[in-house]
Amino acid sequence: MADKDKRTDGQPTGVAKLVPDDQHPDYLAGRIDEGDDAETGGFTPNPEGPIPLPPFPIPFPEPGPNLPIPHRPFPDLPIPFPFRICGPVSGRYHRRNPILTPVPHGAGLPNLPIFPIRLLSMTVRVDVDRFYPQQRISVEAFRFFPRASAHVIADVVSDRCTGFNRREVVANITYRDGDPNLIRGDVITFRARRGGHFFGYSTYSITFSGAGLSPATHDLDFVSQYFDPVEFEIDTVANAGAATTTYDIASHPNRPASLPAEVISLTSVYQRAGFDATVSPNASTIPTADAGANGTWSDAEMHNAMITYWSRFSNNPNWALWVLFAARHDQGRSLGGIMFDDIGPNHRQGTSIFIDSFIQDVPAGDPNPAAWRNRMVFWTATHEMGHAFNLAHSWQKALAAPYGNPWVPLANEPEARSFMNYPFNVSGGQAAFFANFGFRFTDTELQFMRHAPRRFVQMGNEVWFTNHGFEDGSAMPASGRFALALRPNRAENTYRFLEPVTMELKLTNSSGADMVLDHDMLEDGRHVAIIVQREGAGARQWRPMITRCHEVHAEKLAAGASIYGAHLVSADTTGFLIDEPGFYKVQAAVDMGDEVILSNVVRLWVQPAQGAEEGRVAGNFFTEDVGRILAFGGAPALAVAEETLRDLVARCPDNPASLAASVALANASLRAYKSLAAADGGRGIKVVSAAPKVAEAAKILTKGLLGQPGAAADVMGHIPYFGQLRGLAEAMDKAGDEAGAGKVMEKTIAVMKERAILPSVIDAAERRLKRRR
Amino acid sequence: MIYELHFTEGFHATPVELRIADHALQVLVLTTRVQTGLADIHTFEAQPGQKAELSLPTEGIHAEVTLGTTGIFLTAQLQDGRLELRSDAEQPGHM
Repeated sequence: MADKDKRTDGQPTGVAKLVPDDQHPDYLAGRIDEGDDAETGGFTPNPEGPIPLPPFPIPFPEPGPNLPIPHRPFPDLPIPFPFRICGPVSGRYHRRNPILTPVPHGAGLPNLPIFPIRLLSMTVRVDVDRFYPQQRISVEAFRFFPRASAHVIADVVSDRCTGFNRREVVANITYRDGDPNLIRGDVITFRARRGGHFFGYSTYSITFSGAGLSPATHDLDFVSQYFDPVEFEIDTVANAGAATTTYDIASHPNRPASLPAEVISLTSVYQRAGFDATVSPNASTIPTADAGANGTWSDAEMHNAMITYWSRFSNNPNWALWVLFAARHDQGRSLGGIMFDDIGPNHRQGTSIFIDSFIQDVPAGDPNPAAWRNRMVFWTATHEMGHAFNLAHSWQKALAAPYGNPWVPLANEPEARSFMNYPFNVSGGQAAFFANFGFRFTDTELQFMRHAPRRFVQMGNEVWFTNHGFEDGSAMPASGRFALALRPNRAENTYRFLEPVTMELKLTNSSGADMVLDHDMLEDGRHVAIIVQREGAGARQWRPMITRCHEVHAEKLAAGASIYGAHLVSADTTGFLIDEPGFYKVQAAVDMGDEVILSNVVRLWVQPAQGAEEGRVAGNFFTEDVGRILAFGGAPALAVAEETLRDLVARCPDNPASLAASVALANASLRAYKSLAAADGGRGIKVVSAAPKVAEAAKILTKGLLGQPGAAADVMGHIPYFGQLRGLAEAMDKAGDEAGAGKVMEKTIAVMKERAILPSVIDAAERRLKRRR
Repeated sequence: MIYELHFTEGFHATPVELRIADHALQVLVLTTRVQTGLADIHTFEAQPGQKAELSLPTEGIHAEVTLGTTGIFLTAQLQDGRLELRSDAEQPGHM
């Protein structure tokens, strides 16, 4: 185990001096199975201490793709192995994803590696050896589209070493959280194997089976022997002295005889609990005056100090914890420490230990008062930090409403020898407690810390996986049946500031045979997910303005044929997703029911504002209501947003956004827009229809759409652009302007031909024109 | 003497009446803070030999203890519908 207690700031702090892992009685170094039939039955954690070493000097090779060679020479192969020897496999694994490669983005833009998103990400925690093995395997899975997450915990029923570093662990799922369909089956089989000429493990996999389902196997990559990382920042108040971060177990005679003489630390305790615990180098000494005039600390004062001095404070879920050593709490000497952070939306980020409190009160006659005090302060610090991991006191394990709820049914453990139990409350008092205390958490606590859904454990957590990127669609396994293309349908992926961004989707039947699907699936808002990410910022999921729940009408799609859809992706129901200059990436996915098809990634550039007017308009422009007018092609009820668009047209006439704005504003006048108004003195409502102003609107739209058709099609996108022209012609026809409508249709067909639109679309437009003649 | 009464586990918006020598001293409404296992610390003046009594009007339960000269610290907890009140010479600690 690495010593990670050394701080780099030069401040004095204790340093752990640990016995080698494989010499600790609570460390299980791996597994040796004997005989031809290596099947072993169920067993309890660490039943008889560490497994015996083989009869020749051989280290247990650690897993990891980069550590294939044992530390010491190994006899030349082949040699007869009297034992089946397997090194430890406990730790965290990730589902292996396709290797991402740079893909071309078009002229003028560099080929950058695609930002990683995992359509399906999976983290596996295997817990069968190393410190305090709990014989559990837990799996958390997250599917990006349709968005779903799941977490399972499985109890190990079989652990076999079938050869040199060939390990197979079977476990039955006993706990589920989240989407039950994401992790199917009820049996988990974890396999670790030596590969090729390497001695260490090199391949890992997990298989889900049972419940009558076909087994599903995922390749895994070893990440760490720890289950999660965590960073402690240990700050001290000036009058509290040095922080106690270590304890010499041998310093006090009242201890279990089996415990090795070593100096443990806060980090080593949590490392053995399964966390890659480190101490932040950014420790601070806090002025005593920050405690206020009374010199003691209230919870609010500590919270303020945490915000002020903690270098990692963010009020977000983080595997990070602030630990304060102070003199005394407002409550007085009776409070030894507290996890004070139940303030605000993100709890459990800060704890305090009070040096000037009852934890200094050594019982009369104790053989080593100094060691007793040091042990009690160290114990208290570890205890309060345990609360930050959401651990309850040992006697509160079953405590339910109105205080909260245990994550699984638990029994109180009033006699537990745990960091979470009060030593002086057990039978026989603190002397009895420490005589049998292994400086560890109990098995149920470790199971929670290592395997519970991470949001339960992580400090300040709300929901996990809040910030993720994209995965290169071309690097994903090919569907074999469909291909999804995302494109702006314009020559360059460069947009003016304020300019709406519309993307077209093309789903092609690439199966070689006719397929049946819903032809509206790219447009209905129910089957498509689109992610927009400004480079350097988090990815955001586009949420459609409309979700249509229509009757399913599966239709044939011939081999090689495609269906199309288009969406304004720069705005959604939350406002604007593209609202700043810079590079953006856009990717789509479509849910086919039985598989998800990912698109390519479109990288686009939004120019900085040109001139002061664009900057002035921006504040009013980037609102949800403006987005609605642009997406719906008019919304007269949104008067303020309409006024913003008129202002845009007047101030920034050369900005392409003005064209989109004028089209949307005029489009509303093509129809008798209905609105609801109060009636009967407020006791009822009535429908009010505005009179259409087709001639007036047609003049604006004809100029906007057909004055510079190429520019208009670029701004609006082909599908919305030609849809708008068709709507204009129909409205003019209906209003009696048949000649005008005919001209619009003729020009539309001409533009279609200029822009090489699909012949079938042109043909349909020409047939409509013929029919009206 | 000054006595120190620690209300610990089991209280949640629970009205508690404190009586000393059959005289009502105070009614407290207590809620245990789970991370310390403590609801409140209340000090009062009384004489050794007097009876300290706690009652929960809404629950219809009570507990009492005779105050001593050494056990100036009292601990009250509500567990499984039972109110426990005990005195101790050492100050209860919370963490």
